[in-house]
Amino acid sequence: MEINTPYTAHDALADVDSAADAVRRRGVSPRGFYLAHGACTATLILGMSVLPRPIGTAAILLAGAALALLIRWYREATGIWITPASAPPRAGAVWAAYAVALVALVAATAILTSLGHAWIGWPAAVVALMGSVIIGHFLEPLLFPAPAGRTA
Amino acid sequence: MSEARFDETIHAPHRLRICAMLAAVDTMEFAAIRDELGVADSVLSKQLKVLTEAGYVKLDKPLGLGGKARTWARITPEGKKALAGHLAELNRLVRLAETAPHQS
Repeated sequence: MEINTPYTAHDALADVDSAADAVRRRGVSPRGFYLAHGACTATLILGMSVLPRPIGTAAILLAGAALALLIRWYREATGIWITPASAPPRAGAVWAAYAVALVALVAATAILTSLGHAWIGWPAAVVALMGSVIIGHFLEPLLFPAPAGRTA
Repeated sequence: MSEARFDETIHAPHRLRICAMLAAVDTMEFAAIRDELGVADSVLSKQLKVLTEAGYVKLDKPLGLGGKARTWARITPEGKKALAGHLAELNRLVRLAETAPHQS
């Protein structure tokens, strides 16, 4: 005999929270994702500083293509996509701070390289690599809003 | 804060969970939603059709590598507003039940 139980407001809110938790679990980036991201940005910086011209240009193009593939990797592995617009404001702030820091690092490296200090590319690449890993560690827990059921 | 409003379209358990998941992301793939709900493709298609027709969800089918299309779903601003209003109403009902005198 089939017994129909009512779907109460309490049940519904619990479902909302469990759905939000499921997305949070699913959104964990694949192992090595931020390390790969850091390797791409480091390659980009080395390509525009210490590497000789034809190889450096190829490295920059390769790093750009790899960054695009990273987006695809995350989407395929998790089945979700998050942008600063859909993430909570705190995550957006971390994202923006990282973007500004990366652009500043690339710009500073480019300027110093043009002034004859190409060696700066090595420490800058290390900073870019470490920065991606560290920022990724702090960014990931901020990517998803608190379960909406309990806070609406 | 959204105006509390019970939404019959969203309240169905599968549709409520779909909206709750989509509200936390930019887009979510059909297969990922299906796996989280533990339902068949046909069941999810039916629920997404209802939400799409209500204007709460939008579906997109970009071509992936090899030309294979995958369906990605996103919640619309109307869907977000309706979900927020529905959650506010559910919370109101829960508070009401908690403060109501118990019947024996």
